[in-house]
Amino acid sequence: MEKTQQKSRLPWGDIGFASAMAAFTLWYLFDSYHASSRTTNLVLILPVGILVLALAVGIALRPFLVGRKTAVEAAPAPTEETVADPAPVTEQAQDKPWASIGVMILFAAYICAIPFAGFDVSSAVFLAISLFQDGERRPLVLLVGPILFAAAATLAFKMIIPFPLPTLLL
Amino acid sequence: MVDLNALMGAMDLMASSSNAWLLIIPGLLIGLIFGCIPGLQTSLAMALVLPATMTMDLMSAIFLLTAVFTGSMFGGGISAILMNIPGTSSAVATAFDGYPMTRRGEHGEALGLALAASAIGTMLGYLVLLIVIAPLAGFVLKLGPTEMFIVVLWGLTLIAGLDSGSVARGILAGAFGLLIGTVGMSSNGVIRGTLGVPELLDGIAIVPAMIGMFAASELFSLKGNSYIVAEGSARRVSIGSIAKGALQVLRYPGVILRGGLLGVLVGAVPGVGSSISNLVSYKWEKGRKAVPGERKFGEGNPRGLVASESANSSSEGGSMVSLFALGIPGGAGTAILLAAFNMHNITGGPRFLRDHGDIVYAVIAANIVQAIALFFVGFLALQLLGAVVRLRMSWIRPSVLILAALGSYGIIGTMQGPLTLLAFALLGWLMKRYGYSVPAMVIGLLLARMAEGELLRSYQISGGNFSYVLDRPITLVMAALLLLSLMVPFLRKRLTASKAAA
Repeated sequence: MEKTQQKSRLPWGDIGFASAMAAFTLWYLFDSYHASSRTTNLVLILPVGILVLALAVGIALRPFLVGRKTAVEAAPAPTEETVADPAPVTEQAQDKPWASIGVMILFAAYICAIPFAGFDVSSAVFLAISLFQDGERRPLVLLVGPILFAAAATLAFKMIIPFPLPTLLL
Repeated sequence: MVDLNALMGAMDLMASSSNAWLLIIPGLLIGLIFGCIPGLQTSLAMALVLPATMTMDLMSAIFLLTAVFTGSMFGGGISAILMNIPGTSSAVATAFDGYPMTRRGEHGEALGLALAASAIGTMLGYLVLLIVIAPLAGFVLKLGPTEMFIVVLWGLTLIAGLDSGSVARGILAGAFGLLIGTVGMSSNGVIRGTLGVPELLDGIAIVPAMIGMFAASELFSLKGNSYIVAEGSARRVSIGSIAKGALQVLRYPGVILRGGLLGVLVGAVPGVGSSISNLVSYKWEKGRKAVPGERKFGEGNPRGLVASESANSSSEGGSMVSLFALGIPGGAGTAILLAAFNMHNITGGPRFLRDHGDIVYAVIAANIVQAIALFFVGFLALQLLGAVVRLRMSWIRPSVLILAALGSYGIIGTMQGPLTLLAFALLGWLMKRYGYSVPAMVIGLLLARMAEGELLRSYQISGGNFSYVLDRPITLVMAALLLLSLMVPFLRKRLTASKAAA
């Protein structure tokens, strides 16, 4: 019973992320080796890859090796930026990842929609949905605000960038 | 020290270029606007201005481009302070204490402090450059590929060390960045890790990746907050608070001097300066004895903000050393300046300083004037640029994400930009969530190609014989310093533990 509880409290997200980095590195080392096994190709990749593998495997295995208590202590140390962040934001990111994941899914949908709907339409829709998600319910603000912002941003970038910008209406 | 003949020639050149002076204020404004909007980088601003300089004389072109450069170097700090998103990689350490000051409602003071530190730092950087350019250029010429590789590693370990909680995660992040930065076609024509995607042949698009990682760590987590600054009254950016902050800089003459000198020294090393100088200075200041009653670093300590801004601004002066002396651009900004020289049939390199000393000194003198102009232009423009904190968070998050998507498209010109932004935004969020250093990863990504190139050259010169390094005293000294900087966090931990045990 105790063992089951211990297992369920392991930092699986942390372990999974470190394992994913290790897996990517392993694949990248194989891919680079297959591309060319000459020293000139692997002079940086091989030593750095081995370092990444060793550290990532060490971080992934640490919770299993040192036990739950130490694993919790060894879990995400605050970085300079998270220290800089005041508690409410960090807590929100740590404790309620689903809110952030929702934003990410919406952002991913926006980026994927650009080739079809252009920057103008997709930006306006993305902004309107984001505002609605954040509790904005005034129809005028939801309709006019995003259209004005998306139009202004798209036209400004159309003027300043040296490439044609994908748009649907503008 | 100073070539007086060339200096007199520079004065004549400047006096005869009256039109060039008129371009300083528009240049600074363009730089400030581009710098403070995440997604619009210094390099993009300068690249967009570059075609306009084709019809200008050389002095006008250089005055305009360096004004954009100076403006955007400070502009990058504005978004770092107000949104925790460094507008450029040289403003990473500015966010460490600048953003906590904003969260405390001290954004006016933080902006004023950063502006004054930037203006003085820029001036200091160019003053030092004026005095030491000839001897410093001689020193940089002595750096071979082994020394350059050690410098890159040193920069990365410094960032890993900044991640005070877990050095292992910091080093892993930096090394992972180095690894990802080598994806694509190598200088030997070997294709690695592209999965057959032709867009990856030139490697990861670094600027969109950088925006994605920094934007993600803040914007994806900000949902639900009404305003950046919680208190309504604190959202106002008044001239008074900016002036108060600017005057506060007088309390930190030592910090500015140290930051300025470090910035010039680190900035003089090609490819490293602008990204590393702010972190080196911040780390240096953090390691010094705490002043009684001051806030901790990372919680809104003005000393950290001044250290970062003075160093990144003075590194601009330092980066000109390699441009003038070696013809090697220290970064994207100086690469565009080099392109401007080429457009006017002037080739950078060791002979440049000897043959065109008057132009070099004229550029230095003009930049000292620009630093003074930056203070006044920035002071007036900050009210406008600082208005971003008056916006609701529900507007800022999606708006900045849209601008970042547009900016990343603008840099690449294809959907590769926004897709890279998205991929690295997700990666950045995961890294922040699990305690890995995002700045270390970004710097690794930025320096990967250079690190591989320098290591490869070292291997080719030495013929794979390690004893070659033993004949390079500068490499040995730098390697010893690197090891020492790696040991410091562990030694400090042991010392603290033994003190606690006693």
